[in-house]
This record gives sequence, C-alpha cells and structure tokens, in this order.
Amino acid sequence: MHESDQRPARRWHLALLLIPFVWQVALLPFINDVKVDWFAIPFPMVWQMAGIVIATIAIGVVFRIDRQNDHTDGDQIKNEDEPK
Amino acid sequence: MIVLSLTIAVVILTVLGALFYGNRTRKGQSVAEWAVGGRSMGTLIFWFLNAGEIYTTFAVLGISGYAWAYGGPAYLAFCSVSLSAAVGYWLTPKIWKAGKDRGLITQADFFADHYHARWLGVIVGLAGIAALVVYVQIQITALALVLRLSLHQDISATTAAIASAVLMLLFVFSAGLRSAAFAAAVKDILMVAIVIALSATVASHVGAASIGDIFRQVEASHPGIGNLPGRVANSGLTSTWMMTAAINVALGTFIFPHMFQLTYSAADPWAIRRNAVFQPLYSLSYFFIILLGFGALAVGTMPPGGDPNAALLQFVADRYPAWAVGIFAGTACLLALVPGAVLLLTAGSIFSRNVVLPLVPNLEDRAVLLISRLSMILFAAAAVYLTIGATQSLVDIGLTAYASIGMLAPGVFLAFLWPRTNATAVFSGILVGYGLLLIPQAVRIFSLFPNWDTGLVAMIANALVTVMVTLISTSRGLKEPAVRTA
Repeated sequence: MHESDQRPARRWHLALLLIPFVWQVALLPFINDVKVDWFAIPFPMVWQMAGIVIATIAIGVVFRIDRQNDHTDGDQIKNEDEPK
Repeated sequence: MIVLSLTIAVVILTVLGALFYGNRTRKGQSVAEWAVGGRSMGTLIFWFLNAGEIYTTFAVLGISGYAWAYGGPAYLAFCSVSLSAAVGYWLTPKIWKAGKDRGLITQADFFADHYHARWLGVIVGLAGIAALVVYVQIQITALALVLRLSLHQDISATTAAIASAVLMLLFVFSAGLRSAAFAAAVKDILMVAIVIALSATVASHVGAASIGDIFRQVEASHPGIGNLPGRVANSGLTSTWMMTAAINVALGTFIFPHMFQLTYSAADPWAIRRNAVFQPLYSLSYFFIILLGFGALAVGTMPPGGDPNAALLQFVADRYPAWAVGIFAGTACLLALVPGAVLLLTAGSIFSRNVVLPLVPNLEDRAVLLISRLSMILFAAAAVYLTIGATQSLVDIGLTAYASIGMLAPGVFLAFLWPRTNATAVFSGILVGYGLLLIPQAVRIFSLFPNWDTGLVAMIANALVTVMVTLISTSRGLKEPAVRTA
C-alpha cells in the first residue's frame, strides 16, 4: 500500500471514452455528404469503420492508464472502490 | 441435398462439441455455476461469450437485409459495438463488483438488492423478460427463414417458426452457459470465415470487376444509397435517426438481462475491461456483411415476398455453389440457436428466481428448476406468436427490443451515479417510459422529435421522471427517514 491511496482516484482519463461518441455520433451529420473516393466505398462507411479503430485506441489508452494506476497503487480492483 | 446435409452436419457437430465441452469443464451443479459459469470466465472465453451474444442473426441477416433495402442506414451496425464498449468499459466492472460482493445471479437481483425492494425486482424481472422475448423473436424469425430455405419452402412459415422454437428449446434443455460459450466460439469463427469467403468472390458472382465496382454499380442504379437516409428517401432514416438510435443502442446493450448476467460470469474486472478494448475490432466484419447486402442489390436479388431479412440467404442460394450455401445455412442456424438459447435461459432463470420465488417462497430447488424450464417453453411460444404475420425487418424488431430494455437503463446508471435514487423513483420512470412506448396517443410527443429513435425519447423521459421523483421523495425524506422504500 502506498501513500497515494489517500489521494482521490485519478479518473480524468475516463473522458477519453467520449471520443467514440464524438467521432461516430456528433460528427455524423457533417460527414454524411462528403464525397471522397476511397476505393469507391461510400465515405460515411469509411468514416464509421475508422471510428471503430479510433474507439479501440481510445478504450485501449484508458485501459493502459487504469492498469498503470492499479500497479502503482498496488490495489487489485481499486477503480471500483471509490467512495459513495 | 448437399445443402441440407451440410446444414445439419454443421449444426449437429457444433451442438455435440458444445455439450461435450460443457460437461467436461463444469464444476459442480450450483445455480451460480449453471447461470453465470461460476464467475470464472477468463478473457478469451468471455470475449467469445460477448461476441456470441452481440453477433446474432440480427447482425448478419438483419444488417445485410437493411443494406439491401435501405443502404446507408445499415452503418448503424458500425456504431453499435464500439459505442457499447465505451459505455461498458465504465459500467460493467461496477455491475461485476456488485454481483460478486452481493452474490447476484440475475439483473432483477441487482435491482432488488441495490434498491432494497423485492417488488422492484419482480417488475424489473418481468420487464426484462418482455424485452428478451422480443429478442428471441428475432432469432426465431431468422431460424425459420433458414429452415424454409434449406427445405425449399415445403413448409409454412408458422410450421418453420414452431420447429425453430423446438430446436432452440432442445438446445437450452441440454446446455448450460459453458456449452453456449463453446458453441458461440464455433459459430463466430465459422461466421467470419464464411462471410469473408463469400465476400472474396462476391465481385465475380455479381459480374462486377472488383469490390469497389459493386459500390459503384449500386450508387449508379440507386443514387444516394451510400449516405443517409439511403435509397428510400422518405424512410425517416436520417442522420438524426442514426445518432439517436446509436446512443440508445450504446446505453441499452449491457442493460439486456443476458448481457448484464454475462458480466457476472467474468473471472475479474480486467477480463471485462480487456474485452471492451478488443470487442469493437470484431465489428469491422460488418463491412463484409454490408458489402454482401449491396452485392445482392447489384445483382437484383429478390427474396420471397420482398422480405429484406431473407435477402442475403436468397442471394447466397442464387449465386453460390451448394456446399457454400450449406455451410452458410448451418452457420446461420447456429447464429440463431446459440444466442436464442442464452436468451431463453436468462428469461427462465429470471422468471423462477425473481418473479415466482418472491410470490411463493419456500419452493424446493427441483420445483424452481421445473418452473424455470416450463416458463422457457411459454416464452418461446410467445416469441413464435410474435413472429406470425410479422413482416418487420430484423433491425426494426431489434430496435423495438432496445427501446423496451432501455426502460431499465436509468435505474442501472443512476444506481452508480446518484446514490439518492430510490425504488419508487425508478418504478415511476419505468411506468412513464412504458406509457410512452405503448400508449398510441404518445405519438404526439414523439412528433416533437422528428426522426428520433423512439426508444431514446422514452428513455430520456424515464430518466427525467426518475430524477424528479427522487428529488421530491428525498426532500420529504428529511422528515421521513424511509428514503429507500422497501
């Protein structure tokens, strides 16, 4: 157990989980009429597929940060133990 | 004949393998073992269980049919898994922890325990079962289509639906969650392999020069198909529709009782989180499914009765060699059978545990199991009843299921976000939300939100009512200490 246990849980990085919503939902109306010829695949389809990759990266980064916090705090499932 | 025998071979071999695997790895006979796999599923098997429940006939036959009928609106599939995973990364470890700490088995257990209200567990249990039955309806509709295709339409739609339900029940009665996990893994690998194989040769089968050429052809014959609202201009499937539907799906996915229950089965929260990272990548395979839908359109595939759900099956039957049709049909059977089995298992366990037991306590274990199994027959029958005469797209039925289960979402999210929320407030929200979805006059309210997914509108109303009732009841609670009504 470290002294860092006393600090409030560092959870700002969870905001990264909003990135998929910005890419795949909020920007959707703006890319609907974009005409870019990428192997003739409709652009909104390319955009949504890119969104899946972006989402994976965003969630993956959150995972790594959580994992690191977990190791430095030495507490197995720290994230669930926030005060009510 | 080759088609039928290959279809049967794929299904039987997988089911036998699943039963063998389930028997070998099972540890004991407890309810927790049967329903949540003893909370011991590691990352890989948990991944397959999740994938197995996300990639159902809804995904394959439904999305390809949507691409065939509308075009661009089928991209909803690309949003569904990644956005659900982003929500699930935050939500599901909390559900897992509650399940582990309090020994919960079902979703209704969670409501009853968290809100200290057994009666709320009964209501949530019934609401969850209703949504599950709609989801089973999707699987039975699809399974009946496959049966009719393999048997060359010699049987009526109703007979095929009943036969599908019987097959599903047979699988349920012989298998537990571990068997389902095995069958899910087999069907997912088969599905991806066959879809990629079909896609690899799709251009030559439709007389196009390349895959890009298929997109060019459909865009030329149906201008605007690749964007929203797709090829049917007045379908209402606009950007607004997709944005609201995507949010509703993202918020609702883990609220489905079977997904909720699946969360309990993980060995630790890291398995859940790791799953959230990698699950979305699998949904890139929707590219092939949408491509096949476009291919079917390019070549002028016309399924019987113009039913979009049968577009992909018809296309494959028309254009591909018999062995490919057989393997595809067999895989499609598994796509319906395996998730359908898990849905029925979940509905049955909720009914016996959260609806009957609170009303008739002191039942013996054997009686509980019997009630659970009999109720599954009843739910399968209800799903068959819903399929008769229904002509909706699988995607639209799916969105109905999401609208229905979304009514339980505020109670789950607020449980973790706002500890003041109480049982009365959650119940009031559920009542108002269902009122909006079921009372015809509510159309007036929905017309204020043109092209919105109705499920999201009802969920927002539900959440607002829950918050308001919580505020009112807890400020009064200063005098009455009974904040959490039991």
